[in-house]
Amino acid sequence: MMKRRDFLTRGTALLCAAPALAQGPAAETAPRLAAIDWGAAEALIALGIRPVAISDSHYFASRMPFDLPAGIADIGPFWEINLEYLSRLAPDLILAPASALVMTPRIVEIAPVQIIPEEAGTDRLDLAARLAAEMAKIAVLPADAAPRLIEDTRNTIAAHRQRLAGKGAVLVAVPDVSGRLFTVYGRASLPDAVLLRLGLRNAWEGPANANGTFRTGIEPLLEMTDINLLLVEIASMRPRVERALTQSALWQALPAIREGRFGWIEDFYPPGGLLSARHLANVIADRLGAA
Amino acid sequence: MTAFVLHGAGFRTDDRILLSDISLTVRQGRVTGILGPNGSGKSTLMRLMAGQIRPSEGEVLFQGRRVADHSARDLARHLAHLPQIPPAVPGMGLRDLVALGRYPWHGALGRFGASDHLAVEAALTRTGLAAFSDRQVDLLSGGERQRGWIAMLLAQGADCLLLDEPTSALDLCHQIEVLGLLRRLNREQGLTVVMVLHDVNLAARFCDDLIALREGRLVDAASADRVTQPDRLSELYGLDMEALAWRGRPVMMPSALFGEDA
Amino acid sequence: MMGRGMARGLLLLVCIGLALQGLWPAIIAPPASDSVAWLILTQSSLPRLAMALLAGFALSLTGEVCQRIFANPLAEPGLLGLSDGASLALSLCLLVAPGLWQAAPGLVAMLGAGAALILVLAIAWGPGLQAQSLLLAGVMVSLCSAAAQALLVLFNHDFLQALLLWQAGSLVQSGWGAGIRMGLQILPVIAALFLMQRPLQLLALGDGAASGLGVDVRAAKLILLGGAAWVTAAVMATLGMIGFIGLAGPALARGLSGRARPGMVQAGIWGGVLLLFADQVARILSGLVGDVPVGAASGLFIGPLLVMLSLRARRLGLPERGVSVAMRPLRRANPVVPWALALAVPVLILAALILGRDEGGLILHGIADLAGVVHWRMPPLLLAGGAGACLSLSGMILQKVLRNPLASPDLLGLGSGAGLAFALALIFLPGDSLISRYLVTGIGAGATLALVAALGLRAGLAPARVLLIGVGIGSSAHAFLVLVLAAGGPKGAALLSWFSGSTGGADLAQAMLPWGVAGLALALVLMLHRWFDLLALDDAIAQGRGLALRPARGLALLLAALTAAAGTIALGPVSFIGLVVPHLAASLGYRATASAALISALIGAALMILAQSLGAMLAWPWPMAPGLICAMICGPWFLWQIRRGAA
Repeated sequence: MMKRRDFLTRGTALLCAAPALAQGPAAETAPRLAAIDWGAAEALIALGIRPVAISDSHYFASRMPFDLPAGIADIGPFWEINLEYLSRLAPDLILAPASALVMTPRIVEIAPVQIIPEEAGTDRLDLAARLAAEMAKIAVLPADAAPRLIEDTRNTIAAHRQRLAGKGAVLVAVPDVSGRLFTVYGRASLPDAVLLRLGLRNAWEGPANANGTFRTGIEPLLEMTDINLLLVEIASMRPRVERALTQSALWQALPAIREGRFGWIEDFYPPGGLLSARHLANVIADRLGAA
Repeated sequence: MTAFVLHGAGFRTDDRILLSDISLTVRQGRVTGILGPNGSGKSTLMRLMAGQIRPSEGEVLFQGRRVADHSARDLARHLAHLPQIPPAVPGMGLRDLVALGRYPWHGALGRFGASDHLAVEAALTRTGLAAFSDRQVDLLSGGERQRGWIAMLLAQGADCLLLDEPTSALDLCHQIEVLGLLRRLNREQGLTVVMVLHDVNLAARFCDDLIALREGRLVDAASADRVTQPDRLSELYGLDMEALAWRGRPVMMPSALFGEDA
Repeated sequence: MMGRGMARGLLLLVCIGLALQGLWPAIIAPPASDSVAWLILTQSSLPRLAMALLAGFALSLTGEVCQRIFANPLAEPGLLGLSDGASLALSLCLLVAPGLWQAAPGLVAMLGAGAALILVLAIAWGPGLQAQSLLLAGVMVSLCSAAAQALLVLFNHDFLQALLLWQAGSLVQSGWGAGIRMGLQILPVIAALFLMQRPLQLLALGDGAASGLGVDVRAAKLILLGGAAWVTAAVMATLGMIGFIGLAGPALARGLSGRARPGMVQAGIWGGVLLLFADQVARILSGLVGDVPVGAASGLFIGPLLVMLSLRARRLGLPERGVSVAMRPLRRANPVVPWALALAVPVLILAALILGRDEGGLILHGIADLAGVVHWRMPPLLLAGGAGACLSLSGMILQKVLRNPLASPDLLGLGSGAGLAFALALIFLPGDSLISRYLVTGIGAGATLALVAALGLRAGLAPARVLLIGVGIGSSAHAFLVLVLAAGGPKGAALLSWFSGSTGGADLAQAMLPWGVAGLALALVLMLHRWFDLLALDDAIAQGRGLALRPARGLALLLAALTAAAGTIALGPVSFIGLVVPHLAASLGYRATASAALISALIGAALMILAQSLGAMLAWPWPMAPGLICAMICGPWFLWQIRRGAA
């Protein structure tokens, strides 16, 4: 199984196509951006821009498939930004989700605020592409910066298509520690968008909430024949989950288990953008292509 | 002058009749005892008179007007009631407790004035508690605590006191002390006192009039001498009673005490 | 009697119907023994039914045991800190020793619950193990563990989210193994509890009477509490947290049997029926919105159930008289205290403005920085202080008027109501619409208040009934909240911080609002303090002094609710302050309403300002909610006070 760090090197290799991290004279003129919204932060970094501050930057770093550039300030969690600190950092523009204006409305006293819309029900990759274009405009990048990034991402994902041809339907699910409940990814989730681009079908066609997820017992899975089951691995949980699963008669009865079409994939950030999507495509392709 | 007049008063809950058809008069300036076996409706009668419950039939008049027609504060200026088991008052000082009795006079917003202070001090002195006034109520002895509550009633300045078994938790010595206090208050200040008592002999000694209840009905309402006759008490308690003469006064005893197997 | 029989029959019918709804296909056409349907029936549906009945029975039974020991209808093992102790142990273990957490989570939960119980017992240890000391110590331990847990979650949300989901409690089963294991753990202990029925009955007479009848009160309580703790912890370790059954099962049994003491078996059976009902509804809802934790679903029904019982039942089997807390003997009020406290508020604010932290560590701000510092720091400081004053006042009024030393503002359900309104607004209003959290939570708290008031009036404002109504409405609102969050988007995460009491959002005008409310309420309390003194005693005594009970109690409750609402809107549903500060004031010798109100408000304000300034620095640039810090500081101190009172 590949480690996250292996992906990181591969991820940065792809990043090289984008402009190198802002340095030298360009940094003087570039606007100072504070990203409370992680989607905006991911898009900026993918475009090679370093925001001056990100909310909850440590957790952000741990959930993203790349190393965080040095020198980004942590301004507290997205629900309660440290206003005093942020005002000292003196950003030119704050990129925030609408909820930040509810929880800490005083951010508007620090700098103009650009609201990053949360559009439930839209294809995540389309959304990420639009966000990247928007961020490129805000960061005053050359006109071709965003299209190049988007094109790169598309190509990376499409490169796996051939290898995966004929793999059919895939169900991506996160089991809970008891092995009794599964969070599955449905319409308008990141796995849904990525599976579509990989030429695969998302096996979960049932209902999903605004996050594009649904928590279900194992029963609906029993009726899914001819699917590949990919369980998302959360490192601290895996041994317990595996133990719980092997003890479950229902689990043993799943068609995907009986027929050996099952594997673990590395964790990813579900509301993520282009880099997260690229990373997810890689792990899915690695798992399915190897099988 | 009458303190209370009851016309066919009764009280019932959904499934039980606690009192029915009580007609009697309680005279002003007298000590009236309420006697009767357990469950005869003594406390219910007391609560009717205190206005805590409304009669389901008939009427209860206090000083010529229906109890319910007095405003709460007006009633409390004339009528002070002490329930059978006063609540625990953790951490409260005795003087603070007695001062609560002044509520009907100064109300929620009025100043606690000189007359209020005077009334509190007088009540404490009257009950012999002046020396304890800074103590905590829960740390007082049973007799002192009961006197403390009575001091609260006195501070209230009412001309009629209703007490539900004021001596039930006290030893003999304190029983005599508390009843003597009430008797003196009646003699010296002309207070009307109505109280539930269990001891027939104490009732005969300290009360002018007695009301006898049995199973929610009025058995007797007359002067203490008339009610505390062996035959009437035997009927009231369903137990043979005998009178012994002692220093010229009758003392009531259950006959069983003198029986072979007693 | 007819009505009760019908209610009983109806409830049973509905439960059977719901259970059959799931099993029906299997009953009309029994599946072949090698089919998927057969597997689901035998490995999922049936174990789930059995688990619901068993767990409901066990939880309700332990609730009944606790309610009898404490002579308090709101007692359940959760009140002894067991649940919060267990979940804190699980969280700590996950962070510190993930290996152990993986190997034996049940053991960790049991150890946590055991540690909490031992702590509570050690604090309340004294002759006879007094019920009030036990309860108070339990509530404190559980509030402190919950605060510690909330801090852990806020700072490690990545790690602990899965744990939180697991703790929401689920009866979903895959096979019989878990149920059999749990049964083996709890059934012998339940049998032992049944053997203790007689001593338990005697304990209900009071410690004195029981020991007079030859019961070793302390040993009996130890055994009973230990048994109840074991059963609760075992159920929790298997299924996660399933609250309210321990409260509602016995309450339902009381209501349906019409007896104040329905017996352990009855309580257990109705608990089982109730959990089965809740779980089946949860199962049906799960098909629509994704797995609904049964804990949340049971809250939905238990709210209306408690409200109904509080309105209908002629006798609640509740003590209508006040209960007192064994604290240290009264200390005489020191006249310096009010002045010192009044001085402490501005001094603490000043200190919080001068001391600061940046990337390098602690710093002292000079005059030059002052404008900026005041601009950003003053509103949260004032907000925390004002909310602290409001919540403390509210708690003091409630404890007096409801005559319950454990009453606190959150019992009125306002926090959950406000939280629900906030969640609905965040999730269902269009993403770009600007809402004010203060306005929205204000509307939510107001609506909840109106509901509690309307129902409370119908119940004649009797203290015990108002308490039950508040708890009921609060539990329903909380359950709705969980459901809304389950269906909602990522914005819901902001609620997590609201629930721990964040102060970062306020501007100066908003921060002054709670001060205004606190000032107004304090003025009214000082004016009407005699009402409160009388109300705190006893209905008969108050009435005998000429107090019109209903208007007085109505106004007192309204005042408590308004201050609670102001505090909750400003800060979120923070319960600790409102519970503890009045006791703090009392232990300083301020018990009479007038002085207690003033001192409580000042202590609340000073404590919260201190906590806010600490919270801004401890984990800079991350904020730590002042309510949580307060619990961490005052909790141990308060436990020590209880200990000294109990000894």
